[in-house]
This record gives sequence, structure tokens and C-alpha cells, in this order.
Amino acid sequence: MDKDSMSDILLDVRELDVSFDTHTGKLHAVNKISYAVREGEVMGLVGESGSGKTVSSYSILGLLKPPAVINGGRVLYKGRDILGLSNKEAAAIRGREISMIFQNPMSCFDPVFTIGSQMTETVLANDKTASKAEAAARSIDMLREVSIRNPGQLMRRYSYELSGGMLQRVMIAMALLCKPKLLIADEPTTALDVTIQAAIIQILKKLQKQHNMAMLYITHNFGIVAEICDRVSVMCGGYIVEQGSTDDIFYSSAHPYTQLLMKMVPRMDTPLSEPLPYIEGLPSDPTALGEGCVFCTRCPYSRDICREKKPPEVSLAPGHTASCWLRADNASAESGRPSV
Amino acid sequence: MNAGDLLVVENLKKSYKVRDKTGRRMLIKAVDGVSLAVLRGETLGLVGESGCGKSTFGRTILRLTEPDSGRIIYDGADITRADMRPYRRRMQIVFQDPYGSLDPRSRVYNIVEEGLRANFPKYSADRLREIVMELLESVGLEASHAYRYPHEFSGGQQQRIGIARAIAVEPEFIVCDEPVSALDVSYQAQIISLLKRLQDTLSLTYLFISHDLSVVRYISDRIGVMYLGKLIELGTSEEVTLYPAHQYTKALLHAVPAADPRAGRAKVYKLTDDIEDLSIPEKGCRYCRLCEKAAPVCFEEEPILREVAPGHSCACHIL
Repeated sequence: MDKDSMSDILLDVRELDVSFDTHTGKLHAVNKISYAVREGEVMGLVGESGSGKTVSSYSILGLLKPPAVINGGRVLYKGRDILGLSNKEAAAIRGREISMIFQNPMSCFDPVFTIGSQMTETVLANDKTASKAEAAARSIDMLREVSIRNPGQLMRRYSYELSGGMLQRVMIAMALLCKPKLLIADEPTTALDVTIQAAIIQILKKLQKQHNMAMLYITHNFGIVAEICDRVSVMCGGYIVEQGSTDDIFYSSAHPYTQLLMKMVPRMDTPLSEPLPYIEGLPSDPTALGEGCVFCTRCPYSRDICREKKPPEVSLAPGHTASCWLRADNASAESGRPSV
Repeated sequence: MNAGDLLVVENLKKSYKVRDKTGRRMLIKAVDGVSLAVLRGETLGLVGESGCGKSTFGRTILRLTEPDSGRIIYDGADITRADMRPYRRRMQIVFQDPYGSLDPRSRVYNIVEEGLRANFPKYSADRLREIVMELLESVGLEASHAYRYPHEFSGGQQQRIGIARAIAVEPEFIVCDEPVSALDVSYQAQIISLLKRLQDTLSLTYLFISHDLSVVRYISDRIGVMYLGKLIELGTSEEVTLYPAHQYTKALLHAVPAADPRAGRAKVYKLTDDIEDLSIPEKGCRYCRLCEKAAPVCFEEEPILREVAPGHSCACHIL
């Protein structure tokens, strides 16, 4: 993959800043984050609850409602800023160019309408030239693509009749009906059993390759990241603390938070005698961030500078950056500037 | 029954009569003849996916729901139909939903103290307060947390409150019903470590129920695997996770995503969309329709649990 080719970039998020005005104060959910997703690439957005990963993805499709406030930044889709679009303009992109699947499939379907009617509705809403029969045919084809063996029968069923795994597949099929260029997946398998999760990920991988579709995959599970993502952005307390290719993150991770987060994933192959490592304390409270690094209160390597100033973004290798004072020392030493 | 067994369960059955959404009456055999023993001081992990009956099993042995048939023997006494009051202190539970299991109108102090006051009526108010504060500290909370309400805490902290409540009455045996499934990955590790530490300091025996095999592996001495109401494999953690005998156990193990980009996933996962496929077949092995190695006998006869290695048993025809 040609990393330097700028024409490839499909989604370019620049300095996105979102906060919530709550009665207890301003909750700064997303702090000037930037990342880019190229055509056909899968970008993983990883972090704990409250890291801002979901809020940042909702803002892409204009799904945020008050008390959310977008303070600044741009979201460029194919070069065009889609952040300030009216609901009507955003609706034209939603489903057609950029589609989204969510964690809880049951809440995305209307229980009083059949699956079929909801799928054909989606096709007809986005393609004014299609007839009802065409919409139904396309829906059935799409259901087959997500390994539904009896799509005709499924079209007549209601959402409450289906298991979580099946609904999630239907949701994927619905999201892909209009062949979007970008699919945003917000923890789609978190609520599912592990064997169903494995099958769903297999389906997503297959479809992603087949349609050369870009994906923004939000998860807290590094195992899934390893399996499906090309690039990764690690978020903590509303900041991106590390960003790089999947290989960079797994084999040369630079930020202590990334390393600890990965270590905490229970693995099947480590000796049983080793204790499960964990991070002391709680994920940062987004209403009470201090002047320093967002991770400093929980970082085992934090020093005075970490608590006093926000670390700069340091480039470790082409496409691999980390925001950490530990790494800043090396970089500034190389560039000749005095290290802190 | 051996001397070391704290809990022995014999052929436990529990079914629910339900009506499905179209009004049809159905019998859900949640637990369909499960027998196992939990040794004093050990952690027995019970693993399986949604609908396998593991949570029902955990609740039934505590008589939170009544069994249809079978026997439950706790510390040598048959408690299947006994008055549970003398046992409630000794057998406790930590629930899956941290917030849902705490009374939102009670302060943390009262939630933890309630069981203490009921079981140790002779304790003075001062002594009770002392114990509650010690308990909160032992689960990683602070004295200042005692006078707050559950909604003021994160999921991980709420679970700690639930654990403090469970250990308050000095139990011997705790059923941990998916205690970390609703928590963020960073909290999961914290809570598991806490549970392990408490087990050592308080000499506890755990039945640890979870759908997450990688988590269960860390805390369990032995692991039992359930599928559609039956125990299909039982052995030490090492045996079951390194040398799984049942095809379903193998599928569960392979399904855990490895945190290594270069590890490809060799197995192709079969998915089924027929609801009927997920129900218990009329005859034969429950797993036969999804099993890679199913042979004709698997569709005819239900396999029984038998020993395949010392301390390792499995219910499968193809071994």
C-alpha cells in the first residue's frame, strides 16, 4: 500500500473537538483529534469506555445531538467538509456513501415492521430509481452475502424473532445495501457470543475486501483489531495517544497506555501461572482533566513533566506517532533541541 | 462424594415453560441433567455461550430458583429442598449486572451492612461500621465512598460494592455469575485480580460462570463447558484449554481472537439461521448439527460424559 499517496484518503478527520455541556461542567469528550482513513482501508479506533471513540464517530455522520457541541475541526469526506452539513445534506451521505452499524442490533429495527419492509425501505430511500421488486431482490442478495441461508423467509420475519447474531448480520446487510464507500462499525460484536463474533468478523472481512470498502472499526478488543484492522488509533480520555499500522501497534508500540491495554487482554497462550496485568485506577474522568498528559495519573512511567504539560506528538516511523514525553526525549535529542 | 467436596450436584434439571412470541407453548430445558462437584478452596469455571444454562445452574444450586429434579449437597448436607436460611450466609453470589444488583435508593454503607446486621445481630453499631469500612478497603474502595449512592460509581466500582456485600457475611462459597462481562476490559483485569486475592485471604471457593474462556482460564482451577443444558466437557484449566476434547470446546477456543496480527484464523465458522438449529434436537448429540466431525451415531444417540484422560471427561462419540 502506498502510504504517501494523498489522493487515496477517503475520510480525513482534522482537529475534531467535541464537548458536552452538562450541569456538572463541560465534558470534553473529543480533544482535537486527527486521523485519516484511505479507500479500502480498515482503521481501528481503540480505547476504554469514555475515551471518545464513539462520540467522534457519531459526529462524522451528524448524529450528535445537544448537549453535544462541536467546538471545532473538520471532517473531510472525499475532500469535502461534511461536519457543518444540514440534516438534509448529511442524510444524502448517510447510508449511501457512509454507513454505520451499531453495538445493539435490536434497537436499530422497528419491531412492528418485517425485516423485508425495513430493508426495501432503505433501498428505496436511497435510490429513487429502484422499484419495489428491485429493492426486494437487492435485499435478498445482500442477505445471502451475509450467509443467511433462507433470505426469502427471513424477509418475512420480525426483528424480535431473531437472535443477536442473526440481527447483526441483517444490520450489516442493511448497511451495505447501497454499497457505501465507508462503513463505521461501533463495537458490532461486543454483545455477541464468541463463536458468533468470530463468524461475523469473517463476514465483515470478506465483504470489506469484496467491495473494497473502507471501515472505521471501533472496539476495545485488541484481538479483533489484530484480525481486521490495517491501521489503529488508540484513544484515551478524548485524545489519540498513539497511531500507526497494525504491525506498528502490535510489534513496536510506543505509548505506555497502548502497551498496558494490550497486556490486559487475557490471552489463551500465556502460561496460567502469570497473573493478569491491570491498570490501577479508573479511566480518566473527562470532566476533570488537568494540564498534563491524559494518562499521567495511571501511567507507571509518569514524571513531573507528564503532569505539568501535554506531551507533543512524536513521529516514530512513517505513519507511526505517539504522544508521550518518554518518546519526546529521544526525538528532541535527535533534533538537537534541549530535552525536558 | 469425596471428603474434599464442598458442593456436589447430581443430575440437576431445571426447565421453564414459556410461550414464544407467536403464542406457541414451549419447554426450555435450561439445565438438563448436570452433575459435578466443586472442591473446597478451588475455582470451578463454568463456560458456555448464551442459552447454555450456566447462569440457571448457578442460581438453582443456590436455590434462588427451584430445581425440577436432582440433588444439591452442600458440605455433606442435602439442601435440595431444605430451608436455606442457615446456608445463605455460607453461600453467596456476585451478579452480572453491577448496577442492577444494587438498590439504587440505598447508600453503599447500608448495602454492605445489611447482610452483616442480619447474620451477626450481636455486633454493636461501632463494630459493624468498623467491619464495613474494612470491607470497602479490601475491595479497593474508600471510606468516603460509603455514603454515596450506586449511580455515582462506575461499573467496575459498582461490582466492587457487590463483591464487598457478598464477602461481608464471611461466606465459604461464592457463585460469580459473569461478574466481569459487563465491564470494560481494564476493569475486568482489576476485578479478576481482586477476586483471586480475596480467595486466598478469605479461603473462598468459587463457581465462576462466564462466556469468556480467556477470562475463565485465568481464575479457574478446573473448567466445565456447557452446551444447551448439558455439561459436555470437564477437566483442569490446562487440560481443557490446551487439550480440548469436545469439538464445541475447540470451536470456543479458536473463536477467541488472538492479539497477534500475524496469527491467521484457520477455522471457518459455520453460521446457522434456522432457529430450530439452536434448539435441542429430538435425539442425538445436541451439537451434531454444527459439529465438523459429526458421524451418523451422533444424530441418533446422545453421548454421555466419560473420562478421556485422568481428571478429564467429555461427552462425545468421536474420540
